[in-house]
Amino acid sequence: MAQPAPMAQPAPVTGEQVMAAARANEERKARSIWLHAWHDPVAGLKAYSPCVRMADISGDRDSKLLVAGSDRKLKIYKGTSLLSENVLLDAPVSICTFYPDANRPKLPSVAVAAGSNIFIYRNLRPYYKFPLPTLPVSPKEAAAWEGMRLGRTSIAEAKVALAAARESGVALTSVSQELVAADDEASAQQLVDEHKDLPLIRQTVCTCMEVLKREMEDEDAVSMLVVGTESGLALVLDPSGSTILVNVQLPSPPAFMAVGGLFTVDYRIVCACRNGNVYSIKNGELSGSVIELESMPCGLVRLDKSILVGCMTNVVHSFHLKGRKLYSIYLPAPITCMQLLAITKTRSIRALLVALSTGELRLYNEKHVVATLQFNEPITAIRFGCYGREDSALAVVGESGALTIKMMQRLADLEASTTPPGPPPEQDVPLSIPKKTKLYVEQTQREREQATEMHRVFQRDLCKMRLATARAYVKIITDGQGPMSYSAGSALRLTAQVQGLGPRFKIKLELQNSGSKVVTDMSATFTYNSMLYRLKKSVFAVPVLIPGLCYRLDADVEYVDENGGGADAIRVMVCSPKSSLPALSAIVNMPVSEGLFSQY
Amino acid sequence: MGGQPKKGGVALREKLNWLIHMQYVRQDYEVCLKTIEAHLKECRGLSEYPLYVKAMIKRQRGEIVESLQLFQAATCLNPHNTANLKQVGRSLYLLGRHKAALDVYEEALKLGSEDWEVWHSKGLCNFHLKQYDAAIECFKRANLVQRHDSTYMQLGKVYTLQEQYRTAIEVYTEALEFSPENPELLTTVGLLYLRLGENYKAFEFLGNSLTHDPKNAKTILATGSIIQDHSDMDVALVKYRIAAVQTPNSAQLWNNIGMCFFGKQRFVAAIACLKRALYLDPFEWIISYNLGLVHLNTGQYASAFHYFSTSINLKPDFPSSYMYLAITLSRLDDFENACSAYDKAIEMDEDHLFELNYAITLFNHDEVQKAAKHFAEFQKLFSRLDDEAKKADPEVSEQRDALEKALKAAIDAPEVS
Repeated sequence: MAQPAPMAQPAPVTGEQVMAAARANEERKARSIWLHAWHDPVAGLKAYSPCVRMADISGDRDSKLLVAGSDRKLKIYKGTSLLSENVLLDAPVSICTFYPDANRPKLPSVAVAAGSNIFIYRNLRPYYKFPLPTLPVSPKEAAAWEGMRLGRTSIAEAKVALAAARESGVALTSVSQELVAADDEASAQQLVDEHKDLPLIRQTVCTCMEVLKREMEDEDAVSMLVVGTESGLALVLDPSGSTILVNVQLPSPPAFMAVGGLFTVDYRIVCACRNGNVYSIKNGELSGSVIELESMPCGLVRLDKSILVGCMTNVVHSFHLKGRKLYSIYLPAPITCMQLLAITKTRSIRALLVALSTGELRLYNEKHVVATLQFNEPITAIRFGCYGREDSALAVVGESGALTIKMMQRLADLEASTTPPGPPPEQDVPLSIPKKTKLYVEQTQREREQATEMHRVFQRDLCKMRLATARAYVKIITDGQGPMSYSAGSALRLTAQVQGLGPRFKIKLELQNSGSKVVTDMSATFTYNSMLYRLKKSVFAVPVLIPGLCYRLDADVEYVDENGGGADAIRVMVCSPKSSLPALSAIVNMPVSEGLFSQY
Repeated sequence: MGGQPKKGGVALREKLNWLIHMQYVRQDYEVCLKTIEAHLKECRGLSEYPLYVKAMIKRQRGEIVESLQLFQAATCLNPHNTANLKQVGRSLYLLGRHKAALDVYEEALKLGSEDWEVWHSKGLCNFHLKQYDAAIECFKRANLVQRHDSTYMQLGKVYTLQEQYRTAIEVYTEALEFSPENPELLTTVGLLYLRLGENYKAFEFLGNSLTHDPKNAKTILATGSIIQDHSDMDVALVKYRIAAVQTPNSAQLWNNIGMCFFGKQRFVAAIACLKRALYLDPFEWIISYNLGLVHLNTGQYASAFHYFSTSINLKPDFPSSYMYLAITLSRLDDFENACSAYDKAIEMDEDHLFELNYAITLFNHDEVQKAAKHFAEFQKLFSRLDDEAKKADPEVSEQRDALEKALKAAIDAPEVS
């Protein structure tokens, strides 16, 4: 037997020990790949992966880390210190660095996509603002505003016209949307007054931005911006970032883009869109092959000939560029970030980094895990690239805003072994078998010796108990002490309820005939302690009880004891003239009565 | 942006959509809801995408009715967005209003969004309406648009429900060609083979599934039970250890562990584990049955009687329970009841073991003629078995030979009057 029997292990190992050893082993493996460089727990960064980039922005071969936070600050790190902090005009969606020209020294520009504009910085100074193209305004909408401007149509009419236009599928400008939504006339009037003389503009906002090289693959070759917009456009700008070269309409706004190739040769833009589909644009044309995903994409990475798409169902699918599925990676927790790990200079490696909501950062080569880093908080952004003079650095931003820089070992073995991983460490956690006491063992011994006798005694007592139960039951259903009566082929049911706080109460009786015959000549009466209670009427004639119907009787009870505070049970009995025993009865436990202040 | 005179202070409603989407797909629902609430307040609840995402999150959290209202609000803002329509359909489906959901999907198809999702969802609705043929048709069309594991899973499920196991396996095999490493698919195929009694094939698939997802408790349980069937108790126990860490409160798991110990003749541990299983799931008949077996083996007949009778009360149509109850009763010297229990078992099913045990009990109570009759019946049934089954339990042949000898001696011996 290869595996020792679980109970035969001489040294008892606890489950915690086994799991701790497994974790330590995993950490050791990760350390052989990642070197810890720097950790700043109070960096206070609030940014997602598109807003974290690495670039040599000063041209001194010392790459910097750029982080554009949602607090509208562009922070630039050099080594282990904050180099500069620039205020941005709007909350950033994405930042990119690109080389607008081939002039020397080669200095990249920084593009910050925010709202409807792309702000381009050179030498960290605002240089140019590229407004995203406005969208066409529908003639219906324009006509409505024109009418209002000339005073031909009233605001109310225009509102109706605009709402109708929206109903018919026209996308309205935000001013018109606001107008349609305006509830009161004053605010609508104000809105119209403010806007009627302004040109109608339908704006869009940026959703993602990447960089495409123009004609050379080099790191510092001339490159251009690729922008995705809320209106579902994918735009390629010229290297200066002032004109649109390519404009492609997608069926849905893109959420993630992955760009590859060269603009002048052959390029492909893969867009994971908000409708859960992945589209690809090849040389300016939307290709016909669409990848429909089972759930929303939450990350997109392009590896040479394949696309890796992370889905909200905790799985990463790998597709061939043409749309055929290659393989899937099943993950134990939701994906928070996905990033490409590419090393080109010293050796050629392209791998996938996946961050999970458990704070785990996994490195996949093809479909095999190479290393797992454990962070103690979920990761919001990761970026792999050149930092400082190190070619393969990893920047990780945690949920608390902490910044961690790791470096990859130069000789790290990223070749994943194709052999399946060994059994999980849980296999060595011993089973927690419930313990049995000595007394139990002794009792089993006794049972073994006297099983027959025990069985007989049990059977006899069981019979006795059954008999006793049956007797008690028969007694209840025949002597009228219970709420159910089965006498004379009829089945009656009585429920009683007491209402009120005192001294006056009301007892509500409900009588139901659940049998099949009509019951007549019944009367209801009460027995009670006359020292405590007084009833206005203590005998009720019960009407003819038709099967299935529910009859209600109300009895008024008054609490008469002068001392107060007492309570007793009142017994309700339903009697028939045929028998001296009541047909059925119920006991009403009266609540303690509240006293009256003035006695009458 | 803020306060630009040109725009007159009207904020773009779509401005934060990218952020909401990002937080949503990261499954950072708390943060996402905060962003949405702030944004909805700013534009007085009239922004389509935040409403849509809020509805998605609400639905994720089980507040389906509320989410349906939000989807309807989003549809009001943009009646031509099929995504909203599809989600309304999905919510209706989750609420169990399958017919209404089907109508909504029809609408979506009319609006020209013929995609995988609509067909797949239509299939699901039909499946729950028990319109299996329609469901199969829908799933097939969904796969024609684009192949997906989940569609294959559902299609296979429909076939399994219709007891067309072979077709179901074909569907799953096709799915495995498409994504060969999906542990869920592998496990499902394995379980299906197990159901068909092809244990070797089942083991192959289950083992394959375990290499991809070594911690899946369901797979471990199925694999372990096959290993157990081959009397490899130690290996099975090692496998169960993994499952015990994942699902420490699984009655089935503790039941299997208990039977492993039973197989290893460690009765106290077996009883301890089975009792834990019984505590976790008191209405599972097989645990009671197993406890009965263990107690019968340890000679605790009084306890065994209770467990067998519980098992019969919970599942009256399992003939072996009656036979074991009969054996227990005969050990408890309740010959009369033992006989009626044997009769009941034999009445329900033909099994050579019932006859043999009955014959032994009868013989022990000096009912030689009747014993001989049941023994003959046993011989008949036993001879019909194939060789492998005959050799499966050496104890059977042993008992047979012993009884045969004893019967002969009793019949030959002069009647003692």
